[in-house]
Amino acid sequence: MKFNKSVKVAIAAAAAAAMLVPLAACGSSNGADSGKITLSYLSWSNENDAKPYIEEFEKENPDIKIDFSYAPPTAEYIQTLQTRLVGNQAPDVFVITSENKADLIKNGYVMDLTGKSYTEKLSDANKEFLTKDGKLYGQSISSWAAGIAYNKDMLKQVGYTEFPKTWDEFLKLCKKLKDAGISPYIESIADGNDRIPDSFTGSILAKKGTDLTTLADGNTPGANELEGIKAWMKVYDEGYADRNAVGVSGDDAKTQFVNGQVAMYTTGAWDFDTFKQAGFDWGFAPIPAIDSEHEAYAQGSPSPGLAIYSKLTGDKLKAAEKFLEFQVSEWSLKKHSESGDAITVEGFSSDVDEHYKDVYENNVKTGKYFLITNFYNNPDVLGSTNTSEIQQLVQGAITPEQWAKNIDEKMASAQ
Amino acid sequence: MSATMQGSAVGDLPPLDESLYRRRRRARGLREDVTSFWFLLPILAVFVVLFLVPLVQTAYFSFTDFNGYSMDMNWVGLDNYRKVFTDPSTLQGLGFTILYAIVVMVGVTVLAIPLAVILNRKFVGRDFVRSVFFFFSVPSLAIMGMVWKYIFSPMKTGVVNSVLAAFGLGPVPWLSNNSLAKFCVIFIAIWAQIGWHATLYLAFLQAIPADLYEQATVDGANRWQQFAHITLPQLMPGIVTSTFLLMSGGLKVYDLPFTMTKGGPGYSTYTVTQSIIQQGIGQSQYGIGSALAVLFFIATGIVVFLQMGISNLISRRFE
Repeated sequence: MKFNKSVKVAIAAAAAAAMLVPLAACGSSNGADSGKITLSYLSWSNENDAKPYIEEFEKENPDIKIDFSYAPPTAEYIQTLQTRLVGNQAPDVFVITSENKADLIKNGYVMDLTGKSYTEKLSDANKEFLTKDGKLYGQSISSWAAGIAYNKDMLKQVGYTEFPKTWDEFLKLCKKLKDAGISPYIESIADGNDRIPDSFTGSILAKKGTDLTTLADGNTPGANELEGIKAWMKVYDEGYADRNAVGVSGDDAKTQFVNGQVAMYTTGAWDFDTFKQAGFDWGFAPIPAIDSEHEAYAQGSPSPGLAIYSKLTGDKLKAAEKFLEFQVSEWSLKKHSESGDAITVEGFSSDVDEHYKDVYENNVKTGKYFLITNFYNNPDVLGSTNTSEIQQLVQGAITPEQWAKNIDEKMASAQ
Repeated sequence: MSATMQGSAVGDLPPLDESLYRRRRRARGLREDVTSFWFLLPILAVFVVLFLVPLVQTAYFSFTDFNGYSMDMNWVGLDNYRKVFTDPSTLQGLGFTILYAIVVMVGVTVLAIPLAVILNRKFVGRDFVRSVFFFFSVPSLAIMGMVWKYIFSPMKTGVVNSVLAAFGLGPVPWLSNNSLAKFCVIFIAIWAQIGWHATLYLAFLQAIPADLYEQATVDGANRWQQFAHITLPQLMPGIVTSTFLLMSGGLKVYDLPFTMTKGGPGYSTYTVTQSIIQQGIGQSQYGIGSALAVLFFIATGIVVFLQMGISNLISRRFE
């Protein structure tokens, strides 16, 4: 088939246009209702989860419309936010968390919320989490803490009706279980869930009176966590936990526990539904203290907070502040609580699951929890490096001292 | 066209007409080139926008401390490259990536060719067997990784360990031992890709003229001799294509090791692509991620060109 030149050019132009049309369609439309203030909100909760709050807020504030967008946690959310910030498409309100807080604060993207009415009742631990140089940059209203789930029948078999309060007592329980032919304890090291060392380190730092917001100055998490690591490793060195845990995922470990193949498993409230469905007699206890001279801390963290874009002014800023005010309203806190969040706002108590009450009262509400990635620079580097190094430690390939050295060297190189 | 033919064709034309003829032919060639350019323009634009520009940007970022949050970046020279070469995790990732790419390429090639030869014979249920082998390559390697993670669980309750227990054998620490974890990842990669590559070889096998085999049979060649002297040389173009795909795919592997082991235990199944994604995007160290990407781009180019060169040499040996 032969075409003359103009027909060929027309076909080429049409082909080029066909490729450009979909790109043009990517352009955003600005269809805000006239007369209303549009507040853009980037969340990492999906639309179904966020919808009730947005609807209620818009009902209470008919002059404000929320332009909702969503990116799933954590890496995808952080990258989406990063792209929007650098591309001058910053959302007015967005999520701030351990992985992005240092960069957001350092680059001046988040507003100082110190002393605002909607942050007054937040717990100290939640404030501390999003504070830098005495200034608060986010509103975090709930927290989580891990504990140890245990099979009550198995513990009864070795004469235990109460869960141990200290690590030595816990190891004694492990020995009794092992002697009785029961696998004592499991952790999902493949997923990097070594929860005990964080809880020990939290209590050690608390006893020393360390201001957690200054940990990033030295940025040596390895040296700071070494004592906790050494104490925790006894459970592997004495043979109470299987070193094959380095290849065990969270789902695998949970299945082992639910099927009665192991007596104890470190986890959190997120696994309770599975335990209930399995229909066996189980309990959930706070992580034991490192020794009788230290308080019992948990591995845990404040939940991600909401931040306001630092360049907001005028009506948009007022709308954003109303949105954060709404987050700590009775209606919102109750709704969050019903969704399973453990609220830590002063004057409000979540109606948590019966099994979780002990941890909620003793760790979550009191702020006695610690997470290694929350207070150092480059938490992403720390998180992934720690997972790999912990696996080598549990395998017995490196010593606790080497673990600490490797972690700190990696952190130094990432500075 | 031979010189004689050209001479006779041109020689029949008067001198003036000959130069006119050449000018017209040149003009027509130019017009065709311009038209071809317009047809190529859309794909050229896509190539420049989606490949060339990001590549140049990546090379530029590799000399800066760009963190993704601020465009105020500083020139750091070769600092990112120095960090890449002194980071033990990256070097371990490079080691496993090369091991994976080579072993998978050799393993798949060695197993897929005999499989293709068998699937090319006539037997009852041949089409069904062909479909079964091809089916392994249909699900993505990421899904394969998730499924096989349970099968190779190092606990007593793992699928393989349960089977071993039925025979009175103890559990094997599949994914918790460095060497076994490497073996598991490579084993799945080979298993999952054999069917697809066997299908590729099957297409080449079916293009071999049957009379070559008939003549060889008449000459008294046995099956092995027919395979070595007819099948294998005729398959060389297929082997070049298959090994090229396996090598380039193997060097940029990410999904299978990540879903199975997340690069662990330790860094035993860590890959270069995981390192680029983790450091560049996950940890907002775009400078280091970019330096890794540039080095990997160069290394992959060298390895693939070497592999193509060797394949071509072997091809010529069989011609």
